[in-house]
Amino acid sequence: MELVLNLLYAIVSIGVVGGLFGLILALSEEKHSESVSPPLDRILPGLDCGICGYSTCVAYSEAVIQKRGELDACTPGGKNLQNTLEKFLHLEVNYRDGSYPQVHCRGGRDTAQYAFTYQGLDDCAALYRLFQGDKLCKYACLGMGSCIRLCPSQAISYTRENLVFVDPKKCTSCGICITVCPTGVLQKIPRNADYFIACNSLDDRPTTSAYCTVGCTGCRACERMSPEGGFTIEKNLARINYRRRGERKNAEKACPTKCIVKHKIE
Amino acid sequence: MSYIGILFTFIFAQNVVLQYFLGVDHAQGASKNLSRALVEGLLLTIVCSLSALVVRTVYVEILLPLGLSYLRTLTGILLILTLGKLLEVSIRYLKPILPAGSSYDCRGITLNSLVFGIVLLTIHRIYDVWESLFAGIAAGLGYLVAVLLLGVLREQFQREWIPRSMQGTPILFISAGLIAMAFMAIDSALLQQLFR
Repeated sequence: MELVLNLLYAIVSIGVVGGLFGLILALSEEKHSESVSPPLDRILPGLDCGICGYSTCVAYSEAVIQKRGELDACTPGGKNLQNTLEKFLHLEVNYRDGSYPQVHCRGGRDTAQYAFTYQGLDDCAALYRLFQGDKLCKYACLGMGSCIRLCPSQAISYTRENLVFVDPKKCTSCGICITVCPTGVLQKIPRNADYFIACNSLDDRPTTSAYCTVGCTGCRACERMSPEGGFTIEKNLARINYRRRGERKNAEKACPTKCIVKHKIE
Repeated sequence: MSYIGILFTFIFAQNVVLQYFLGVDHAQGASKNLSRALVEGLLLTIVCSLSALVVRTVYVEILLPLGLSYLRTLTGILLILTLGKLLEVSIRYLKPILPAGSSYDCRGITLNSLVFGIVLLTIHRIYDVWESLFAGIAAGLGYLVAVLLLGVLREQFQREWIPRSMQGTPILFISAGLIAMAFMAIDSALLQQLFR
């Protein structure tokens, strides 16, 4: 009986104290709910070791953005991080021109065939260790969102069809997503591109059409329909030479699997 | 023990950073910018004193009578984190007054092991309300002293020649140890006699 009473005391006292302070916090926090954390702290190690001279990684990342300097202060990050930071700061200035990475895959639950059902860590690298992904296509986007979590400018997100999409307006072309993607489905395209090939499969025509309804089979319809569009087929996959400025609309219409996708910039 | 005695104890004789080695990592990682380091130290002082006061009160008034002294760690963590969060909120209002620069990082201050250390010391020595408040203030000031000393050392390191393998953190750790040994020379028994 005494034991039960003791337990009850413990639960009630901690509960009351915690609840009271929680209430105070909730009341004080009400008006200020916006996050002030800068995007850079995601690529920092997050150890809060203080070697850089700031007490946490967040404080250091703020200083980096403000001063545009002190890139070599982070010892745990090393040379690698320094290069990334340099890239990030440099590209933040003039990222509007040039190219940016886009996901070259539109295979989702209803379009692509799956080899097995994956239940595990939400991480592309982990999934890739298992038979190079759960899709039959070994070139596809795995869709676990590793790039989404790592993107420092939060430019990558899921679309309504649960596909991964990079927003060219937010992307700074830092290239972090390219380095984490195990399948190499993220490839750079010009920011002002009108169309892009939303497929990465190098398999031949029967194989590709067996496992994906939106995969490029290398049928050469685009080459024929838009000869000035710069379409070429290499290893069963269409590619666009963006230096050619010809029309590409006919090719989009003619593509049997609709893997030539209009590049939307709102 | 008088309040001055407590102040002296935790700033010099038993400097919490240098003698108990609590928050040494944070002291080394403190800002190189002096005014910023000062403000961070003062914020830490506020958190320390408030949490020592509140946790001590909750411990003595609620936990001890109910025989729940084993819950002190849990309660301490709960209350310290809440106070840190409250400080973070209030800092947004205070921002115009504070020295210019980016935001002050309260998460680092709250997670400083120094805060929890001084809270446990206060409970352990059974201080009364005012004594615990002073102990907290003294712990924060002791942190400031340690930060200033280490900051001066850091500046010196940039001028002196240091072996390659010793540069950066290693030499700072060795120096912190030497400073700590110097502080241990202060006789705490004598202090207690003086400020009885």
